[in-house]
Amino acid sequence: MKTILSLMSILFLALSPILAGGSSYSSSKYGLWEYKPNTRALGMGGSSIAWPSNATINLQNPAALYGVSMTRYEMNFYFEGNEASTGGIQRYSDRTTINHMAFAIPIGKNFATAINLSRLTAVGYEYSLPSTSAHDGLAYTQRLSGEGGVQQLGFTNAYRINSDWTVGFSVQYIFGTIKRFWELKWSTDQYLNTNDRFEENIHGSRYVGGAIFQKDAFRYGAYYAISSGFGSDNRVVGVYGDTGVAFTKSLQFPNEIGFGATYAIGSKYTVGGDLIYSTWGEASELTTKNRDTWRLSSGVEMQPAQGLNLKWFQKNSYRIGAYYQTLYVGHSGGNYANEYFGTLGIGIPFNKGKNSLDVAFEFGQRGNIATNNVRDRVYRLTFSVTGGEKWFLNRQKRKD
Amino acid sequence: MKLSFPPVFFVNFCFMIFLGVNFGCSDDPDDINGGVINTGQLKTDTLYVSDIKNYRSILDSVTTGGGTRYYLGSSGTYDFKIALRFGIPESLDSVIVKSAYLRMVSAATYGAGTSMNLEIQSIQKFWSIDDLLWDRLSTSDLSAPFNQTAITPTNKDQNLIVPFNRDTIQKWIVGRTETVQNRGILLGFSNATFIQQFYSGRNLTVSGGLTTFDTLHNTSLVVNWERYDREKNEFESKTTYLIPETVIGLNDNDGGYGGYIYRDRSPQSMNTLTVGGGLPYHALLKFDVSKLPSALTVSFAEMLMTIDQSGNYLRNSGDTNVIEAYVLDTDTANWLPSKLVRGPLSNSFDSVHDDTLKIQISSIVQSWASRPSNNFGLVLEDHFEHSSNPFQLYRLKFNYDPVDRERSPKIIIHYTIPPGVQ
Repeated sequence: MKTILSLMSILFLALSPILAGGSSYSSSKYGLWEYKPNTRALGMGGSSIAWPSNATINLQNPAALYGVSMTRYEMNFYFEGNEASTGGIQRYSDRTTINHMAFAIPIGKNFATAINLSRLTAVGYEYSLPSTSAHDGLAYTQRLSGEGGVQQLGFTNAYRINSDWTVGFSVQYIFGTIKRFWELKWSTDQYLNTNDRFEENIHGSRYVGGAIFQKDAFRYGAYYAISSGFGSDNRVVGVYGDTGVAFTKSLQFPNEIGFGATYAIGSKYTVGGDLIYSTWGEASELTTKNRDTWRLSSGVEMQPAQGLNLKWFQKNSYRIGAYYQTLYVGHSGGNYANEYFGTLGIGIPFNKGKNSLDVAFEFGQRGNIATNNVRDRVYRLTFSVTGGEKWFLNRQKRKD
Repeated sequence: MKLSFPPVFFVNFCFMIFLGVNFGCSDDPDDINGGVINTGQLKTDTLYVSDIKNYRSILDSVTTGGGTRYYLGSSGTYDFKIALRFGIPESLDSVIVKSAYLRMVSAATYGAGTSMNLEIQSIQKFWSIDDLLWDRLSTSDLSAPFNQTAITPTNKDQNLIVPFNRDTIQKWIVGRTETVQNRGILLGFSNATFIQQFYSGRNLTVSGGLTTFDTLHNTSLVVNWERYDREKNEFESKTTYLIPETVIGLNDNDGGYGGYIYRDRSPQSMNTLTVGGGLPYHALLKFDVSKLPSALTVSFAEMLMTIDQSGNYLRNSGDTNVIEAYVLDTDTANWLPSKLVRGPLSNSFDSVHDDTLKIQISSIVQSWASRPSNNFGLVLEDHFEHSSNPFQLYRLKFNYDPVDRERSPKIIIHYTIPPGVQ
């Protein structure tokens, strides 16, 4: 099992090249929160708690898994461009990364189960610091970089109790490696230039319970996630390669509670919104104190038209949304940064509606120069392909 | 059943690669942090005399036999004598010793004095390498001086001729097979005000790729003799050069060929830090580094020690002595002469011409901090002990005062702690 997880971790790292630049905000303990498994939701500002799965697999609220009508497998990846600016200096960087893989199976009429491997957080930055630093009268330059993040391997089940209520439960193993490098070059040969490497292998568990209540045109969803047993195996390697130090450490990972609601406006539009609160204030951080965070997101989805002889664009789903979230880590001067994004999305069914290509475009800003010294302008394009097979269904259902 | 997963994955993967290849970073990142990224910690700590767990100075030598130099005389608090034994070959049977002298070749002189009386005594007891200590050969073990020669400081590579008692050698020849007759000699001194260094009988020379004993410089006993040749009905006259033989207790591989005996009339106490040459004083120090974080990376660590002029020997302020530091692999229980096990030389030697030793020991401190269980301390030795002039007599004493931490040994360490490590 460990070998498989290690291979998965390597796969995630290998396919997420860290280019020079990146977001300096990802230098926090766990990195930037990047749980973006559902491209459909991304097109609606990330709103997903009260949205049951359909052509895509929705796992944010375990109860939302119910809704997959056939065996589905899904994979998404995104391309992200980031323009970091301090006002006087702008730097552009980009990255491409696989973000999510999932496999879901409906069992009988009222039960669904799924397994997923999804990115939770990401660390990716590489920056030099101003060369005016000095220690003991000696000038030096620094270069800071980090890479990696933590992933989620989840096992999720959803059960429809009756026409009104659906519940779900997810057990998740959180794991990942984060490496940070600190290169320091002195202005004199007498001092040894160093390049410290700090590796954290983070691991822990999360248990998520959720429910969706449906009444008329309304759906209400909620979930609660508890983190447990988090720790890290750490290794520090200095410039003397044989003088690494290894130690273990217990960590705190946040609990999370989310509420969401949707309202169907006729058969064509559905509007929804989420509010998620996370106890990041209790989570471990590198040096500064965290704060609890919340995220508000909302979006609208225009459903495909029903009928025969429809034009291509009439068969698609169209989405629009926005979200605002606070970041957990404080930076210079103790100020915290926030994010606000606008989103657009489209869902394109193919293979007689069994498969879906979903695309989401997010554009927004992270932090601002006046408060946080650094502003990120982010452009993120996410693609997912969801396949469907009528496996494990009885003959009658396969015909449907 | 239609299986569509592989093509989906393939398309996904190819598209991702396409994006990754075509949108690379366009600018070098620089100076963008703005205080957002957590740097590591760059710190400086000092280990003071209060952090020293053990310290000691030892004369790191058990025997003075087998060396390539002898010392004779007295200067400062040092006294030196020389114990030798010359084996008598069978070829000297039946000869009549006409004359003899001891030829010694000067290697160096120490001290400001100008004269001493060299005295030769016969050793009356069986002795070995273990007796090359000052008090082992007592008055009852020695004959009265049978030869006294006034000598003055001699320039390097100059011969010193010491007349030798003819009768003594004749007795050795007569009793060649009776070793009780030939226990060797002790070269002593009286009224000495300087120390003369000589080449021993063990000095080697290389010529044409061959390594041989250096007969031009080695101490030797020159015997002029004659023997009646009955067949020719005439006296045969020849000269034989005898070199000191290996002292019992050593084998040829150890060297040997006599040795010198020394004493320091004002020896460095255990509670000093002394580095010396000729007499190899080594200073040992063990600092407690537990207050340093184990995850540090040392950028620069320097040990500073100040000279205590009162304990120096043959060293004046302004003189240059080069000190080397070696990491120790020997527990403090075995900080004993010839018991020390050293690691490789740290990249760390520095002169003390300004009366302050500043010695870079970055790699040593790193090893102590990273593996505290391997912290056995360090040893300071003089550079010349391992290079061009291993027999130069001198002694450096360093200040050690628990109530004066600035003048006592201290280590200043500049180090880094990576981001996120407490």
